[in-house]
Amino acid sequence: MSYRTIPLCFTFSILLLALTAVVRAEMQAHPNLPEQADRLTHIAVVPPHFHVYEIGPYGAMEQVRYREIAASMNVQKALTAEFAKREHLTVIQFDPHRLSTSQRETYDETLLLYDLVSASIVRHAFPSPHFPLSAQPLFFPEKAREFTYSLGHEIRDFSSDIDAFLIVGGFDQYSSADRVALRVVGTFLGKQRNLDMNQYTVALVDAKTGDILWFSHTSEPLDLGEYRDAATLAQKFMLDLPNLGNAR
Amino acid sequence: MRIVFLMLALFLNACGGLPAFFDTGGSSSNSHQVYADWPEGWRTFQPAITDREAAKEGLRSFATHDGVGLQIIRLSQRSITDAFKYTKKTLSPDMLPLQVARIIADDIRANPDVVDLIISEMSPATLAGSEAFRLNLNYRSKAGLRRQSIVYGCIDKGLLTLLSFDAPRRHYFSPDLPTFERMKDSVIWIS
Repeated sequence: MSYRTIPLCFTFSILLLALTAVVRAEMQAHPNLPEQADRLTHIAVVPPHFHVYEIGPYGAMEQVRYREIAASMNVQKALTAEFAKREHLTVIQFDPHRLSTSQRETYDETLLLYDLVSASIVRHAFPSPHFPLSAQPLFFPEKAREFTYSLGHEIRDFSSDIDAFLIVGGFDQYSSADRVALRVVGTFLGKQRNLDMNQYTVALVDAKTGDILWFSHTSEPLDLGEYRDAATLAQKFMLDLPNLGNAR
Repeated sequence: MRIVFLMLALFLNACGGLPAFFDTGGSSSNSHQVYADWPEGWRTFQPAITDREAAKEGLRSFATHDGVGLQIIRLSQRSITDAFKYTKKTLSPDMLPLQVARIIADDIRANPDVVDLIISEMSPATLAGSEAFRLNLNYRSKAGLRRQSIVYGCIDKGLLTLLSFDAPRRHYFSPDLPTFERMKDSVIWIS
């Protein structure tokens, strides 16, 4: 190998690693999922919840509620369309507005805990493709091997005839038009970092135990305010979702 | 050439995002002044020397099993003359453990990330053979999640030593509490 090819190989490998990270959704499954998958026939799709922030010209973040609502509606619609292809499953659109006050508290707490649990899973149960394992102190191989995360048995409080919940969440932070314009100048001055990023997650949660049976995530730059991108996300997640409900 | 630049920028950006602490690689670790048997199967970390925030707090080591947001044990030691982060109060060597506990509770209450704090216990205890206090705290995170903390603390050898366990109340706090209490009993002075 000549000295000239070494930088080329380095560049190519970096490019390849970056591309695989962008294109692929990664998943993990609970050790008990294979023996439980067949009994999971009644699935409740929880309204997806996203945190969307616009980054101002000087880095201040502002929550953009209307984009969160649009993303939630688009992804829910896209998931419904995808689930329609799995006719042997009974899929319910879970409506939190029908819950009693105490059930609603448990539900809200479930989503708050999900935000923490999903962040921990992404951080600790998936190795980064960019670095060798020895340089990844945040990757816990034991959590990847024995994927056991839970949202707690309290989840059964608002489900009697459901086998599993499908919970979708994530965040998207994007630069405002002002910031994009400033960044063009800042790039040359070395002043501004690109803070644009997103992370979307999905989990199949046992409705009796709260155990996370299956989990997938992607950081592909999708604008879920657009239905086409929401459909791409739903397809990506549903492709990874294991076969369920074969006992029916 | 532009792609090469972009890829290098991506790579360097990823390097810049590495955490300012490192895995101690074992189930037990020593701090500078005390020794503790850290729980088996937990990941123990020590902050990097360059981590100013950790140095200010005197954070020696911390450990988690599923992720720091889901359960964390922290061991810290700092000079008693250092002011607290939020209240700017200081301690004196002749203070009784429960007086120290009140000052620490005040500082926790002043933390903007701690909401609806309820102190359900403030009692005498022992830590590393020294007279200490035990605080049992219930609160909500800024996002609204109910969390619970146990804090042991003592003043000895001119240092404030704190050992704490914090986790969401739901599912994560109770199962790991006995593990934390066992670890607390293992803390001894080594110098």
